[in-house]
Amino acid sequence: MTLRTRLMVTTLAVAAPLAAGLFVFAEKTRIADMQGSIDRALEAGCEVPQSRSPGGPGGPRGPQRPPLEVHPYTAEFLPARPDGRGPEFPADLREQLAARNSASGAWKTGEGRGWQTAIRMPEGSGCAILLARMRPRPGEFRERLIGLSAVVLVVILAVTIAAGPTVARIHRLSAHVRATGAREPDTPLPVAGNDEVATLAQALQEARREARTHLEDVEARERTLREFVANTTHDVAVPLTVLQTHLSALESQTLDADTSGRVRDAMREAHYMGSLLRNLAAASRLDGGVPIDLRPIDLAALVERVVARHQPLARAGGVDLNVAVPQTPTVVHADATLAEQAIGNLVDNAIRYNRPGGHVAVVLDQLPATFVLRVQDDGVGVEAEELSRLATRRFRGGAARSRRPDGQGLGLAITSEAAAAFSWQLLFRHHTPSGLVAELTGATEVATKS
Amino acid sequence: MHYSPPVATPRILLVEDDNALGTQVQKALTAAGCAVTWVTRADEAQNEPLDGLDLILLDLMLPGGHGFDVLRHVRGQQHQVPVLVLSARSETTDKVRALELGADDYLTKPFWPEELLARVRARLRRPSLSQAPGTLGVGPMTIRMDARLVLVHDEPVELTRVEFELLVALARRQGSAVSRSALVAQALDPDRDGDERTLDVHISRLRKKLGAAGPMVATVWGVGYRLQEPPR
Repeated sequence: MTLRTRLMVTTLAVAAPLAAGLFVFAEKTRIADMQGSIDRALEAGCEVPQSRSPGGPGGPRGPQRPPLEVHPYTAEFLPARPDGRGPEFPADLREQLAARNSASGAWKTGEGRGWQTAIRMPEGSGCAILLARMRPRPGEFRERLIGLSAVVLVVILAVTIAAGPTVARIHRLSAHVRATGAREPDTPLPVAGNDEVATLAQALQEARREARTHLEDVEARERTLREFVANTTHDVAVPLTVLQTHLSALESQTLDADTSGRVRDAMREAHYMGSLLRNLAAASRLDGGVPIDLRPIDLAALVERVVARHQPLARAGGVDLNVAVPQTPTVVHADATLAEQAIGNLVDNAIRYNRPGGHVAVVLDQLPATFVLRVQDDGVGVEAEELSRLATRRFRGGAARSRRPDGQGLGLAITSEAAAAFSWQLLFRHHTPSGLVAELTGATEVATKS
Repeated sequence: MHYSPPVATPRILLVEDDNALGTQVQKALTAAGCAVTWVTRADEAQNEPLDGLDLILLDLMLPGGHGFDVLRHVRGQQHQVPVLVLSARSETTDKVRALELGADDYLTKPFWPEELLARVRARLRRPSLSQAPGTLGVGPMTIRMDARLVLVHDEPVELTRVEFELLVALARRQGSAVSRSALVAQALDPDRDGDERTLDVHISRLRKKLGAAGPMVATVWGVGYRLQEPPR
């Protein structure tokens, strides 16, 4: 509800009971006036003409029926006119007269609520009871109602108009705060003065300054963290590459079974460290709040790169890793580093949770305007109830927990978050008879180009 | 344009400041048959003659300048030698900037030597990819595209249109797996030849007709098929 509407409702809530009270007061005054006229008519006694008008200034004007009627009655409440004509004596007044010498009450007429009084006359007055009654002026009730309603409406309108400048100031203040936000708290607010609105503006200004200070602190911490991660990644990546090169050289030599097994284990660990490093950098970017710049990249080349990177890991695990991509470029809009890591995590997962002699297939298909990337393995797979939670951060399926209890459960979550950033869809399903199928789909730029 | 197609011993300029890594990369490349010149500073790299080089492997964080300076220097001389950037930074901006400055490819550290060698080979053979061969040869098999003729040990093999198209699709990517859907899209007319379900039947017939060369068409789990040279 807007402030203006709230003011109108509040004014109505206050003015309506006041108007009702005023109406009751006016009604009482009207009845008192009628009673005065009736009393004067009764003073004339039983010899009355057919009708009497109170006359005089302010009295009812030109009614077809006389506003004031006086009727004599016998002690038995029968009309006492010589012609025997007259209205039936009101039953409520008759009951009152049983106990008193006079009785008064409302008179319901077609024009509204009138008033009537009956008195017992002394003996020899020509009648036992004299009834005088006065009908309201035609339309009087409606006029009063309309008058009061008009007053209430005028009051509401006046309040609304009076609130206009205040409401306009609040609107200006809101628009300014929205436009400048917390980043420009030093911009002067478009509200002057020393009233409550100005106080509110001042409080907002102070809150904005505090928010900006807080925001700057958070941004500085995030920058520091991102730089730390980037520097750490850089510092660790070089020696890790050297380590991988040494391991690769060792692997190519003829070794006894035990040493060969140790080299393969070391290769797997080195690969895992590299993967952790890249995932850490990816998580830092995805959480950093920095917009991800989407650029056209060739997904086919990227998939081949990812598979080439994972061949040593597959070989070390005795897993057959194969890839098929279209012969022509498959152009998608993505961040190359994040996309490489997102797909790398799927391939890494398929190899790592596999078995010697197992298979991993990575197939990229180009359809009209879309691509489908399928990473399929015949490894240990996951439980049915774990499928939907695979891409949740820190969630690690049963196989993952038992094989690498120290893992962070980041890989597939990063894939899912990166996919969402590129508007790709990620789907997991079981592979029959065992294993997992991860499927990424998304839009491609125009058809492929050769 | 100074670039010439790679010769038998490709010449590579390695620009890497880390001694241990430089040593290992140089060893791996030398073992793969490349002649490697290794420099550790950006300014040294800019003084190296570019003519006769087949590839530059360029680290970005270098003493004596930045890898981008080297890249600007190379491209500033209108030299088209391929440049493969070796980046240890996880930020995409470095890679994007490198590509904008004229790098051909990038490789993020940490990497395995075979990953590096694959990328190096891909860069070295790239110019020849633009040549559209009229003849494809794989092991004892020769495919003459213009005559739609297949020879195994110089003996012609009679193939149907679908079998020939399947063989060509596989031969164009010899050594690499080709997905079932790609084979269907390239070789099968869905109205006449059936769909993915009939692919195995066509491949089975092709293998039989190829005789001794039949086993060269290998099944690749979860992917499709691959045409590979027979083991020696």
